[in-house]
Amino acid sequence: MRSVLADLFYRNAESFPDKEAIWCDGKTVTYKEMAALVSRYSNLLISLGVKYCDHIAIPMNNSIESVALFFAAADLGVCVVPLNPSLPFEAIKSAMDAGDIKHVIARRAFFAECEKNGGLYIDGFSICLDQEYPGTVSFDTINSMSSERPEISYDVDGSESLILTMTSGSTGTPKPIDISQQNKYDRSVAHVRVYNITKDDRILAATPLYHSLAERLVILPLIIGATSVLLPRFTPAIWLKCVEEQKPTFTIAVSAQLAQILETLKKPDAPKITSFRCIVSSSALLESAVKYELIDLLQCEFHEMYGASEVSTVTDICFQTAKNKQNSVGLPFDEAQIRILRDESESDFDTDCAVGEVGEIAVKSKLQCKGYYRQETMMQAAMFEGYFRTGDLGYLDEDGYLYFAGRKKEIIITGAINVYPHDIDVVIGRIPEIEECAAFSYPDDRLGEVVALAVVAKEDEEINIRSLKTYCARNLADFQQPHKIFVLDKLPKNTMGKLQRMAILDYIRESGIEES
Amino acid sequence: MDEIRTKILEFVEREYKLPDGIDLDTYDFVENGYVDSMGLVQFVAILEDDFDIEFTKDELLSDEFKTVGGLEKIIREKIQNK
Repeated sequence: MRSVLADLFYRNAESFPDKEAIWCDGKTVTYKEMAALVSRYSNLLISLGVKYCDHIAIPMNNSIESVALFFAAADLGVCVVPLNPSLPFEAIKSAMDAGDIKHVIARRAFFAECEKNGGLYIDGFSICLDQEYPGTVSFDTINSMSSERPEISYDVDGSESLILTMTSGSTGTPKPIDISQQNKYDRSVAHVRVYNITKDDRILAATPLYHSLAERLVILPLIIGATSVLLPRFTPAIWLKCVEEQKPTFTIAVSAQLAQILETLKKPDAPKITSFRCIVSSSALLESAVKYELIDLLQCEFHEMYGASEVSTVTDICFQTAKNKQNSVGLPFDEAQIRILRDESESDFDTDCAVGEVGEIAVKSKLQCKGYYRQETMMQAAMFEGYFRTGDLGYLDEDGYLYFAGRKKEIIITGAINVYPHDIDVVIGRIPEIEECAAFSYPDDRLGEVVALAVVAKEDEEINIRSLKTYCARNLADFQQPHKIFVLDKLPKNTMGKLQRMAILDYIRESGIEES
Repeated sequence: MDEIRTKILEFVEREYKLPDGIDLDTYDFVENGYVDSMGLVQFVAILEDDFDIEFTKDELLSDEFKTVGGLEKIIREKIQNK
């Protein structure tokens, strides 16, 4: 038995060898060429000794080779662990530990940075994607590999982990979301059904491939014989140029990107975009004004979805058809069931909220991930009677439509990236002059939210803002950088002394404290 | 290669290598998505620390800041004028 994902892809390569499989950064590859690349990649991994269910880490950028790696991994029953290349060394190391990494594929700069910091202990092989680096195998070796799909002597039944998506949690320890091959397949099938995606679609992925959204948007087209359009990097101008030239018909975009795209689309010299039949907004709630202007300008079906990486997409709404539900995020997918849970402390046994009552959104879905890799207790802690607690607040109306009402979890969503403030607190808290600190969400027109930081100095100590910024630059990833820093004399806390992170912004505004 | 240019390229090419054959004096690495607004915050702090300089708001907002050649020129002048 072989991988269903890989089988479907290879079948498409046989059926439509000359069809465009993927476009990225000015380069187009047909199905026949992509199949040869995937096979070469598989043969390279086999030649280096990869074993069934091994984990391979890759600081991943958006490229055709990265997509080929997903399919090679599926075919061999191994797991890819995409990492954000901007992670500082310490975070890379903990991600490697949490992800049980055996092999690494990376660029030269990554290996050099690791060596500078004392090195990584890698049990298996290392592949250098660009140039040569001591102790690694050059990616160019792939050219000497056979372009025939390799034979394997074991079954790949779909239960194998295909991707571990790294998120962080309240402890600062990464929580690897474990997505099996079967999960990926089921999620693709559900999206194909809901959005009527066919092999004639050209599907645009415009977020980084180390996010589950882009992974979904590149794997899906290749298993149904459609075309993947992969944006190498996002700016509104690059997106518009790509859309104008590549004419995608379907995309799931993140709301922060859509707001920026709208600004560019409204400029007098902006091109007219007519290729889309359907656009879905995801990640965070899209502002109504942005939504209606985009509907007007793009002239296509416009949807919004709600979901989480652990449970995939949960609800969807099409604004043109659900005319009297414009503030909702829609009805559940067939695979998902929703409960709205009342705060446990307020209820002894009946924990479900009434219609219209706000509570925590909990989801039971056939699309749920395998769990958090090797962190079963964390997954169990997030579950309630078989439902995954999303940490988001919302309510259901009398017709079962879900409405998003904010976040219970202390999380900052900047661009489309989830930032866990506690991770930042831990790193900043190590600075000797700092008594206490808290990262918090600050509203931003462009990114929706940005990271802000409140710091309190120890008695008789002074905080040097420039040194603090340098420390952040060197010890936090780019998405964790505080865009605003406030020096306070205390942090807002409740009567029990617990930090009230969500109250920091109001505290600063009410106290008239200026940014440092 | 000069240390200033090496440092700039090290950061700009952290995720993606710049295309071959471009003019580093005119190629806008921000407009072309090599460093985004989140990366810029980090980039500025690292450059200020590495070269012991401080950029003005005008410099940060200038077109020069967004090209490798232009940024190199700004840094070089600031070091000379210290």
